[in-house]
Amino acid sequence: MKLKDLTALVQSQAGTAEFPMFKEAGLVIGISVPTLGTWGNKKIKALEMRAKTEAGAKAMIWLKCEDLAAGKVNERRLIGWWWWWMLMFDVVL
Amino acid sequence: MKGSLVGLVLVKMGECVDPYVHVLLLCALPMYLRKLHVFFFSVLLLPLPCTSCARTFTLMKVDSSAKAKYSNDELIAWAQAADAKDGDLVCIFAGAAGKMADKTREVCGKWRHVMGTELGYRSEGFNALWVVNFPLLEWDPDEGR
Repeated sequence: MKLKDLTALVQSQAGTAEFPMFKEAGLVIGISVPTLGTWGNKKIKALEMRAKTEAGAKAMIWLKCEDLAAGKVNERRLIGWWWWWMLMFDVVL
Repeated sequence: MKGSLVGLVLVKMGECVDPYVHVLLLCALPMYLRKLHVFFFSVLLLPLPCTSCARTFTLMKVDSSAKAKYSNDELIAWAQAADAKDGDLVCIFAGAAGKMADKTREVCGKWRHVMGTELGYRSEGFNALWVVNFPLLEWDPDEGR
């Protein structure tokens, strides 16, 4: 289990302007809990309730990390250029 | 001429819009222009990285109670900042800054206990702890920890 301060990150994001819980927050902490990301949403919603009753939180935001490896930024830029040249020389259109 | 203009628009859009829109455009345009063979080829190319936005289209799967307000990329940034791995659940708590921040830290501490119990990390009974330097677990503004 790891605790990280997410305040600077969250404050710099566009979505925060419309999110009341983070808009006024001066401290945002994320706790990554192993294996619980595989739980169904129903069980996680029950965890939300436990956060209120057992930890005394007003609210808890959760984030399930189902597949993080697939989304790594990839620097290869071949396909788009291929497309671009195809379109550029009217090969496909 | 038409192709070159569309090509420029595609490249330009890829830099500034959501990757899904780019994918939609890549597939929808050939469909609109009735180039079915191009459409099917585009579908095959989708898992490969895009040119302009330099991302793969097999976006990482995250789900969140805040997904209505935050984009997929923003949620992924949370996961990366929290140093989360596949299968992790990131629980996020927020509160006011300054003195009131201790309340948020207290909630986090209690939640760690709850989660520790849930995962079977905590042992039964009590262990003795001799605290030498008080306060042990309070925010120290000088040291920033």
